[in-house]
Amino acid sequence: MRLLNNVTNPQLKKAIAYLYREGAQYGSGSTGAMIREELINGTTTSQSGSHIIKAEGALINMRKLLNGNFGSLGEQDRKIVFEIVEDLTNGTGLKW
Amino acid sequence: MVVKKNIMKELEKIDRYIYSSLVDLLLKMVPEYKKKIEQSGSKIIMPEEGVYRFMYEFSVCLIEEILENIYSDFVTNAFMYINKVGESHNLELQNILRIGIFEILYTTKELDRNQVCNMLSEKLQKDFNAFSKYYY
Repeated sequence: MRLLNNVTNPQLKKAIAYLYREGAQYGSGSTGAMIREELINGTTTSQSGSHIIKAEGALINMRKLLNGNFGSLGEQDRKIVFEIVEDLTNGTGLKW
Repeated sequence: MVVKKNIMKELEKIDRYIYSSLVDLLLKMVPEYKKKIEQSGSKIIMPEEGVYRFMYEFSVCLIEEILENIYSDFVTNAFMYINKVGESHNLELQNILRIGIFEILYTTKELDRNQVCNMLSEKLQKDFNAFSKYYY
């Protein structure tokens, strides 16, 4: 919610809505937090599924945003993109 | 190095095949969604952004439709599609349903979870309710 309120680029807003879910019992509700949870509990093959491929696609999208494919990004938006990238790569095994 | 590149190309082909098969089937089984995309002038998400993003966009649209009229053709056909894909034993397809659609529906507080659950096949109801471990 904090991230959503702090960005102006519409595509970045959409990306945040896509990557963060409300009401999480563990962590921030981010896709990155779900991957870390899956890795800790070994639930990647259970009924809850794995978020890793979703995260890979999201990183491609972040790169496009930084490259200006969806319009210009202000300083604050760029900072938030890197915050999202950090969340998606920290402890998830994904590379930026 | 060349071998690795070729393998990656082959894997990308598989991803694209899964993506186009799922999207084609969706647009065929839920023509109302196709019409909505055309009317809004928006583009179908490109494969490199992933099938998960496409399914998210579809889920957002499905949520709007459920809230407007749960008995509409859109909603009926959408759940027929979801249940059809859910018959597959392919783990990747099952994951796409779980992460791409169920998690979005489950975490949308405006929706009645029981109502959504009842529209899913018995097999998929278990997958949908598995999110109770992760979300309030």
